[in-house]
This record gives sequence, C-alpha cells and structure tokens, in this order.
Amino acid sequence: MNWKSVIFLSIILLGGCVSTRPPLPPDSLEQYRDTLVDLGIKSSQALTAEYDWNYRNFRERLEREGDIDPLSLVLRFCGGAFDWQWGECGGDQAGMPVFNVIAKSRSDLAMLNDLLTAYANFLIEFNAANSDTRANLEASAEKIGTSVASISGRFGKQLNADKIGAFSTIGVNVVEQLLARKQRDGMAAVIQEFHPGVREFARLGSQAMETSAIGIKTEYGDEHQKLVRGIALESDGGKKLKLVEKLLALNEQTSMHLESLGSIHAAYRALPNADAGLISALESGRRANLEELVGHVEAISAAYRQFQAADAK
Amino acid sequence: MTHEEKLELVNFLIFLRGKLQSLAIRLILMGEDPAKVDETEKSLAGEIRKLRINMMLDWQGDAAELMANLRQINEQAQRHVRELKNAQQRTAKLASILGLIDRGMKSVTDLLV
Repeated sequence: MNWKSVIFLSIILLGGCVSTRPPLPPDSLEQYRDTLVDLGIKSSQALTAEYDWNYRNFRERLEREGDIDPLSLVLRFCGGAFDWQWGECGGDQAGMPVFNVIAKSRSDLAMLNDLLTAYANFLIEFNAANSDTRANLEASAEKIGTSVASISGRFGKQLNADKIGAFSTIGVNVVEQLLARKQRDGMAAVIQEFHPGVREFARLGSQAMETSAIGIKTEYGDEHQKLVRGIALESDGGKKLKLVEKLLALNEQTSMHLESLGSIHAAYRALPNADAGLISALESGRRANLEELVGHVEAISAAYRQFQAADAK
Repeated sequence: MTHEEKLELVNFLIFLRGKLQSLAIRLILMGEDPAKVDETEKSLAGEIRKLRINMMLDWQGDAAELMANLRQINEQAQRHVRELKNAQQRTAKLASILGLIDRGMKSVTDLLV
C-alpha cells in the first residue's frame, strides 16, 4: 500500500467517525414552538368562551327559577395542605356548578399546553447544547419532569403513562444520557424517544375539544328553546322579528364556536405528524414540514376573528 | 368505557333532548299543554348536565349495551311522535313517549350509580 492509499483510507475512516447526520434545518424548532404557543392560547380561549356561556346561563336560570343548593357553592378543604374542592368532601361531584368543572378543565389543558411548549423549548436548548448551557438544559428537563408528574396526577387513568416514552423519565439525571444519545445517534433519535408522549398529549388535547363541543351544544340547548317558544307564542310581528333575530344570532355564534373547536381539534390531531415531520427533516436535512399544523393554527385564528365579530354584533 | 363511546352517548342524549324540545313546540302549535314534555326535557337536561360533568371528571360504564337500549327506545319514541299528529288518543300516545324517555334516562342514571 503506497502513502496515497493510506491517506485516502484514513480520510474514509475519519469520515465514518465524525457524525455525518445533517444539522437541524433553520427555524424549524422555533416555528414548532411558536405554533404550540398559539395553539395553547386559542384552546384556552375556547374553554373560556364555554365557561362564560355556562356562567351566563347559570345566572339566568338562578334568577328565573331560584333553584340552587347553596351548599354546592361552598369550598371544602378535605385533604392536603393546599387542596380544595367544591361541595361535600367525598360527595357527588356531579352536583357542582358546571362552570367550575370547565375552569378545572381549562387549568388542566393549560398545564398540558405548557408542557408541550416546554418540550419544544427544551428541544431548542438541547439542539444548541454545549458545556455553557448544561445548567439551563438541566433546569428545563427538571421543569418538564415536574409538569409530567402533575399531568399524570391530574389526568389519572385517561393518560396512558406507559405510552409517553421519554417523558416518563425526563429530569436532571437523564440530560447526560440524552446528550450522549444525541452525539451517538443524532438529534432525530432523541426526538423520536419523546414522540409517543407528544402523540398521547395531543390525544388528550383533542379530547378536551370534543368535550367542550358537548358543552357548547348543551348551552345552546338551554338557551334556544325559550326563543323558539317565544316565536311560537308571540302574536306581535315586531316582537316576533326581534326574537327571530336573536335566535339567528345565537345560531351564528354557536356554529362559529363549534367551527373554532373543530379547528383546534384538527390542530391537536396534526401535532404528532408535525413532530414526525421534525424527525424526518432532521434525518433528511430538509426544512421540517410543519405546514399542516401551522395551517390548522391559522384556521383557528381566522375562525376566532369571525367568532369575535359575531359576538360583538 | 372509551372516550369515543362516552361522546357517542352524550351526543345521542343531546339529540334526544332536541327531539323533546321540538315536540314541546309542536304541542304548543297544536294548542296542547307541553308541561309533561317540558318536565321530561328538564330531567333529560339534568342527566346531560351530570354526564357532561362526569365526562370532564372521567367516568366509566358499559356503553355498548346502553347505546343499543337507548337507540331502541328512540326508535319507538319516534314512531309514536309520527303517530301523534293524527292520533285520537293523543294524551295516551304522549304518555307512551314520555314513558320511553323515562326508561332511557333510568338507564343513564343507573350507569352513574
């Protein structure tokens, strides 16, 4: 073997040792994170609208019928140092006001959305990790670990803890392990470990929107009947027209609200694909294909603009 | 009971409530008193409310059997509603419809126990 062959062989061998995996496409992770932030804001707004509508109907019903168990409105302190609940300790929770349960759902969903945003932020930090950023990375990992523990506690059996992949073990102690994995197998392999969790959390998000749609239909069921009845009984043409206009406005508002919930639902359903898109972008070196998710989030914004315009009318 | 089954059940009860509300309006237009229908509709609304809370707080039960039962009840009730228009014994027909709805609601209430 001559010296030229030795140099050539050395170059080939050296190439095999240095990672040949492509770098992360620019802005993909930031775009992913920003989309998740938007999704979190819009889903929280959706449950706020459901809360407001239920509270309005609750007040009207109370004024009209005066039928309420005052004890169902009292907070009880039944367990831990900071725990509280509405109604009797260990009592039937179905008796509590619906708006209170919606508020709880909204708080749970906010926690879920915060976790997804924290995950995207963690990926950004992790992607740029070096010895100076190690402390930040560990703090982020610890934050995610705490959120996962809280979410597991809140969602109970609805969350399949066996299916959340690396989310179930994340914390300060696994950062080194993840960094070693990144060095050995690339960033895509690390994201792949979290992918089952993203799928599971997205499922919970989409279910929250389905439950909220039930709420909207129920509120409509409460409110529209008195208008329809008024239209059937009213003999004065002018008054009847006003009732018809009110009903049409209610119909428009309800359909737009359901449309918004449908868009948010679709965005949660698109989330696992977007996460998989990041992985394949990392493997191919191309820009991540987040169009589907971004498209859904833009559709939510458009639906909300319409909804707010109808509400203002 | 899966989330999808819960959704199907609650959506069906909402649909059933809509039918009762329409029935009340139809009775008003016929010059009849809708009080009994209103009472049943109010009870159904109460069950939907409980299920909605339960759904948010996570609930369990046997959906498949219940759904089959409710569908059967609805078919019978709809048949009676169609007959109501020309019925000679309207009060008796109405009582049958409300009886069927009561049976359906009892199935849902039993699920929550």
